[in-house]
Amino acid sequence: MIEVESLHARAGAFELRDVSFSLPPGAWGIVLGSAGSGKTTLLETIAGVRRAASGRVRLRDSDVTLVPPERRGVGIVYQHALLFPHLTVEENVCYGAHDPRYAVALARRLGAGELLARGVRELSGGERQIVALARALAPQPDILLLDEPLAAVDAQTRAEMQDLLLDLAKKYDQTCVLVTHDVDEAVYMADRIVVLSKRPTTVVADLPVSLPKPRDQLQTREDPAYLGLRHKVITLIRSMRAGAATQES
Amino acid sequence: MRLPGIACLVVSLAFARPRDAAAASGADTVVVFAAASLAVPIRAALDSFARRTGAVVQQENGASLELARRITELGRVPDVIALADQEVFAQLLVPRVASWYVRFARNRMVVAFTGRSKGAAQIGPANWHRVLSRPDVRVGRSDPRLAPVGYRTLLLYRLAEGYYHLPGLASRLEAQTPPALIRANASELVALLQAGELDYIVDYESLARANRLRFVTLPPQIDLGDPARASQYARATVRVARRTDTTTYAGAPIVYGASVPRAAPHAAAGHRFLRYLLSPEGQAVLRAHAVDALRMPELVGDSVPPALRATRR
Amino acid sequence: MSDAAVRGRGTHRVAAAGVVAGAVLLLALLGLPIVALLLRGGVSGLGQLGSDRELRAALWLTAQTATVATLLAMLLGTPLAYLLARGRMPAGALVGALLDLPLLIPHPVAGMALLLAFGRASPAGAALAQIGLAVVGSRTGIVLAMLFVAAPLYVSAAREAIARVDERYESVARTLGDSPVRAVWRVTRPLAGRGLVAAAVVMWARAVSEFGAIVILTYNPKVASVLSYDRFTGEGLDAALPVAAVLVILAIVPLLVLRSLRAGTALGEPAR
Repeated sequence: MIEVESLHARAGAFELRDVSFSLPPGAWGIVLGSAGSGKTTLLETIAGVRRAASGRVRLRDSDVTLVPPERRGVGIVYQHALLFPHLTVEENVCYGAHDPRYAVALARRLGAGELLARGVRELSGGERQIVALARALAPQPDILLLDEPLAAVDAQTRAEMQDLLLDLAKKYDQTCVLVTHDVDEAVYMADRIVVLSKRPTTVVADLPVSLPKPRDQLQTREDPAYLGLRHKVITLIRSMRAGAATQES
Repeated sequence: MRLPGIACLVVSLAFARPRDAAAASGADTVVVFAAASLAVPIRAALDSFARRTGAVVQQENGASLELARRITELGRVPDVIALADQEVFAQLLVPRVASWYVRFARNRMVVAFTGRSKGAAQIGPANWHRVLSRPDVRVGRSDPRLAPVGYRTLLLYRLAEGYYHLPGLASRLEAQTPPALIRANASELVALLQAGELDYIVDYESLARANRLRFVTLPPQIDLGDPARASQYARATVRVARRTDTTTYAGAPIVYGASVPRAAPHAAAGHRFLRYLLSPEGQAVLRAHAVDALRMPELVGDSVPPALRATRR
Repeated sequence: MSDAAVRGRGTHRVAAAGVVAGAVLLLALLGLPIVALLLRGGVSGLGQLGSDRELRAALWLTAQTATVATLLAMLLGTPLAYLLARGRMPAGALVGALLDLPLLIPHPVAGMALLLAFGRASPAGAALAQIGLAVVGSRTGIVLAMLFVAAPLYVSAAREAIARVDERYESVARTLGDSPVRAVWRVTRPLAGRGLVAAAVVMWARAVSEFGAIVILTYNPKVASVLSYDRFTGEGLDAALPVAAVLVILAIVPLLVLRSLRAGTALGEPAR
């Protein structure tokens, strides 16, 4: 469904070098990496907002490397929400939606019902994130890219949102790429984990995740396979950091 | 670290005075107001004067009336003022600003044009008024409220009407220049002619010659150039209406006047330059720039400074 | 209190006094001439508006031509400003320098350059003559001169206004289905709108005050600045002062508009 092939891209100080991975339809790909890895650049390249210097992006089995973003049918949620400041929450959510009623219902389902009439400035960080999510989901894209969408959200809400996202994706058959710092979140949600290095960013590891779906906050997190995978990933990241540290010193 | 250096440079540039050296050595400073049609000749005379005496010279040009107003209204007084019409002295400047003036040059009205002008091949002293009356021809003239050359053009038209016995010629010719083609002074007309915006201008012979324009010499009965025909010229009058008053001008030979105002800041230097201007050398410079300098300049008024008495004949 | 603290306090006071003195000096320099003009000619000037047809005509002509020039600048300059703001202009630095040039040229020199380029004798002027447009002695010339000296100001200010709107908003809009043009129209335009209007007001004000470039091309019909000069040279200071005072009073209008625009909060800055 999503295939990234030998991608080279540059965005200011960030650089992707020879990044490749693929995701089958309906899968959740989690991109893990510390600050300075070009996670956002990767998402932007898949969405078409940024042009790759070389390499290919294939979506739904066709080469979209040269296709502009408005025709890729990819939804993206930026880390800083980037809600349109001149529009209300409702107008933001309905911006790209084909069916405004669906968009509003979706917003309510995500917990943003009371916010609809408000201006964007009045929202807290967590609320902005939720509205941004609703906005990206409203056009019902079958591919969704999420750049640390739950970073500003409190822990309790975060758990609910994780499950909601998994549910929605399942219901609408969405293939999703989610970027996060949080290893627990990554392992919980992933069908595939891609670990990126710091710049110049390359793929350090590409791990399949075979935990059963649907996931459950209690059961899955106590599953030994979950713990083992978590252990593996953390060790990997630690050694990556240590390796980088020795390189620098 | 470079910032203090740059700041020093800027400050020193702002306050640098290269001319202080000349003033310190005791050389003259001379400020001259010159009518637009005298701009180039006076510039040449000033430069020549400066070379001889080491004087520091400054010149401001403008229409004669405008220059007079700079003195009377703005209180800016030059050391020498040279205007295209002695009448301006008589009407505006004497006796408050100046107590005397010198008639030092003559001029004539001509019709100037270039090779590009429509009808250039046909125009001549006998048919100029017909060519200028053609509907496709663009004729420029000066604003009579501001520049002597403006009302002199109108006087020329009136004299022509009598001379050629063509009633209505004056108003027809006047109408040939819509407001869009009227300019503030004599030099602006030349500029527009050179730029190709005008086909013909009515202007001074000195300017036509100085700018190497082609021109039609007009009959002396109408060209305001012959002092002997003063009474003939005086038969034509024109009323120039401004918003608040109306002035009537009568035809008169074109005579340029110059003076050193009473309140000139460097009166002695002004006298020296004016004396130079009236001397054979100065007159040669003027003639080299197509100004018809009077061999015998005439002083008008009393209390003439001794420095200039010698030139009185 | 320690010695250092006491000394610190003293230096602070001196510095503060210096700042105040400098500000007062500059304000006096700028304000006194205007006050003098208004005191001398303000009342008679306003009174004259009723009776002085030439003045009213000049004011009207100035407002008309400045508005036309501003509208043209907005039409032609806003896309350019957008390209410059987003760094998508080929040879952007060169274009930027070219746009700055008219601001540095003395105004009469600009008028002469325009005369050379668009006068009858030039190819462009001949082409204009074919469609009945002349640059000398016409409103076309006035608008052209105003455009030349003021459009760079508009483009510069518009570019700033657009640059302040985060480009990522456009990207987001595109992922939501908007074409590039639609994204700019729906997102950047409203967010930059206030800044664009402010840029237009600045341009209008500049166009209205222009003299040197206009007077070379078009002496008649007279715009307000040419009229004030003409009154001065033709009739004297007393006749010119009322006109001058009226122009100063009318200059307050764009100032007020600008202030009210700036008083609104800045849009387009995402929370970080």
